[in-house]
Amino acid sequence: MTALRTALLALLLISCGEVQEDVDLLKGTLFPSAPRFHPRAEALAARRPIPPRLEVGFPKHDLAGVMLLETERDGVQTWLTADGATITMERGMLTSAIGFGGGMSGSDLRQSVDLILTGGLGYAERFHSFLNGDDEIELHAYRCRITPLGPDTVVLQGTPVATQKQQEDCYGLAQQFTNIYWVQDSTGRIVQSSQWTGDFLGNMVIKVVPDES
Amino acid sequence: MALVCAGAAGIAEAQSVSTYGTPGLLEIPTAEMFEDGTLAFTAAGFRDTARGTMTFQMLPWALGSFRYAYIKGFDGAVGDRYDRSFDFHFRLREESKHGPAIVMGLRDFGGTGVYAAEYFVATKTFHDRFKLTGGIGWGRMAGRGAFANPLGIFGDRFETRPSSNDGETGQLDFGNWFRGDAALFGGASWQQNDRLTFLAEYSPDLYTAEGDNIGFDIHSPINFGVQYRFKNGTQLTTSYLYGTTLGLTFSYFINPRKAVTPGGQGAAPPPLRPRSQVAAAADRTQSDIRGRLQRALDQEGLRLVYLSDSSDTVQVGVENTRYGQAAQALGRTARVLANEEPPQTEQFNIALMSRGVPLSAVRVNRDDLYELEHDPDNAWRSFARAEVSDTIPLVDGGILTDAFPHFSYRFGPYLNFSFFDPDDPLRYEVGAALGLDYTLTPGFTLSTGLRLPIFSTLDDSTRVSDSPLPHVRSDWAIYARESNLRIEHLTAEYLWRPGTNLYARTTLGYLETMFGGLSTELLWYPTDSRLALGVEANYVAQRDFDVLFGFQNYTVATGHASAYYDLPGEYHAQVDVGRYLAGDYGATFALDREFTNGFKVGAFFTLTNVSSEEFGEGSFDKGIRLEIPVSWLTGRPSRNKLAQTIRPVLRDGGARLSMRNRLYGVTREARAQNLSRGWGRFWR
Repeated sequence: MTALRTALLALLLISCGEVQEDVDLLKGTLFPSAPRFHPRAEALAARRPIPPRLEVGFPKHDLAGVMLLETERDGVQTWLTADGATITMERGMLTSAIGFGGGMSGSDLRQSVDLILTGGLGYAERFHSFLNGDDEIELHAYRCRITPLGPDTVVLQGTPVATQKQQEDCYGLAQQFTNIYWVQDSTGRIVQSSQWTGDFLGNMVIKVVPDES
Repeated sequence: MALVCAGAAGIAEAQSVSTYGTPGLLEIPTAEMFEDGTLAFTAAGFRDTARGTMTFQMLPWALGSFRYAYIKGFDGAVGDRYDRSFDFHFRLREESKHGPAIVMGLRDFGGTGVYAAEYFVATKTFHDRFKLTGGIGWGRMAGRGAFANPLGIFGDRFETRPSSNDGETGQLDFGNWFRGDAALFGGASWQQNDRLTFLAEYSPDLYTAEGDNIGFDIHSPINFGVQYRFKNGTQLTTSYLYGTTLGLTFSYFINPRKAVTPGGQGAAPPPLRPRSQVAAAADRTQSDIRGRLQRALDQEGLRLVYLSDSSDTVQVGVENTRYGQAAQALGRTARVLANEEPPQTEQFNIALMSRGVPLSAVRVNRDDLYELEHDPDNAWRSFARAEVSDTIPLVDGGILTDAFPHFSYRFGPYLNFSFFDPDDPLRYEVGAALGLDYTLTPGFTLSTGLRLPIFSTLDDSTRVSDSPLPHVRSDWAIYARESNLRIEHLTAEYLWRPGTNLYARTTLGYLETMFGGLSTELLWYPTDSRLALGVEANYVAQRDFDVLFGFQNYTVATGHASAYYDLPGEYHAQVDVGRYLAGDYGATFALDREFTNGFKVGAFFTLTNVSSEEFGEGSFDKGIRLEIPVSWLTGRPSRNKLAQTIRPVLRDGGARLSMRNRLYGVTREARAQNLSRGWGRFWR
């Protein structure tokens, strides 16, 4: 399919559109891993002090990178990659991922987050909206079991951090997935996690980069 | 906007495809359907025969196919046979626990009759893996074991089948349907696992004409095959047919609903900044705000052309140069406004514009943006709160002085095809294209498009048109031969709004490759209407074969009254009634399946007062068309589309002027229906 799409594009990039846009499209298709820097990311990277960062990765696709905090409003943080894709997080829980190819648009995770941050055992319902390949919004509901896995130490920038490890197993009508969270003992914040972004990309590993100060 | 419930049960999908490219075993059909909306491309080959078929599952219960077949040496001294045929396949009964699915099929119902056959077929699945099929066929299928037509009880006319309408191809052959002898057929398939399926069938087809003309022997009615399904769904079937020949069938499936990435790649929209940060920048001057708006919108692929403020409302006009869904352009504009406008601005009135002309406007409440940005149901809730109107009353002076004149260009390769010439069934032309647009004032644009062919087999065609009509299209080969650098169009165009719900266009110049002159159009299209009505009048002269500046002697007044209707359920119908380029009068009927993501599959036909004899091969103009958004292929936002119309034959009857920027196409993306469908992208 990729070969067909590339061939079609290479042959048929015709008609409308500014040249640069077409060239970018073709480059993006032929060299999907080539770096593209978005002006917003450039502006953010030039800020001093350096904005808070996350180390992120999609293990299934062998992709990894750094995201910078672009803004925070009403408790929701928006983090930006170099090529302009974003995730939003609320109390350390992933609520949307835009620009990565997957369709996660929004989430209601209030029940899950309450259990995870308090180290509780129990069930929660979570809701996600996804944009599908036909530009339609799908609403998905999941029932999740949250299980404390006990203390665990994670290493952030070379520093060991004491955490409580939690696992969340979720089941929906068509999907099931598992998220894992490491909640820092001293702050009660999620400092490392593996969270599901949807069928397209699978789980995303997210790790807080501590302030250097 | 459509909200889809996850986990809905899928429709039972056809597991195998016949050599005819429709759901079937090896040669015989089954009573299955593809998944709704599926496009299946099938190539099949066996002794001296090749068939290429495109099948589209138009509705959950109906599919249509277009087939191009090649039979080597079929016409003896004349040479090989190239045959075009259309099929329809209707499900009469859905499979149930105790009963089979039943389908009625019409094969090659309007072509030369080489493959003409009609059938009723039933298929029942047992234990998910075993499928049994049986049916009765007429026409070509009434070969081995044929018996008197059981439909004869309805009248003597069913007992004999007149010969097919050779020489008048393209006419519907319904006079022959289900007439003459009939024969039974049947078969079975066993799905060993997700990859492997075994197929066996009894086919009554005796290949009589092939036997007479190319010595195709039939030793047995039993055919066997093995089908392998690849991980991406592609199927490869090898078979042993009629006891004499090996066959190979390959099918490739496209689901238009599945773009390469479900959510799209590329930069996400700017997040809404906290109100406190916006308020901290409240001392900016008007020109500061305007400059920042222009830069921020430009970064999002949007061109700010209009800006005016009242007490608590800002009105902006933007031209969308990047997004296939206008709703996405609106969402990004709203975010930029929320981040740059002073806090006292409560309402954003955003007009979508084209060449400086407003198409429609959407009012968005600033507070709603803040409230819904992170709401999981924000698409539906924000659409419910947005207000779509004809357009905002644009006040003089609101048009930004530096927005016009505006120059834009595009440069890139192009590819043209010509299909089904028996000397070379696939002709092509690859070259470089340059487009220039210069909008002097809102609505008034000078445009040109140049093409320079680099590799071409179009100009190898030596076919001479035998059309008794004015050669308005059938001299395409002469155009290809005698042109080099071509001025595809060179026009002065004026778009304007004569009144509420009305749009108008006047274009003067070289309008398309073969015609130049004056074109005028008026369109009535209320913002929230599914119906649009238009009239177009043109006076044009045929251009010289070199496609430069000269004209030939042929001139014609041509024009149409058009009705467009956005049908529920992804369908779109269009009827154009009027006078065509050859001076003939008639009507064009078109029906398209339009997916929300912009993928389109459609068919059209034109009937005019030109008789089928005058029209020539094909009897009347008809064709199918495909439109694939580039974003569907790449996942990245783009307004570009790959469009291809496939006509069995290009003749002069029913030929319409190929006009750029017809008003319906320009305005439609901003209508409430379209915005509603694409609103899932408002927050993307």
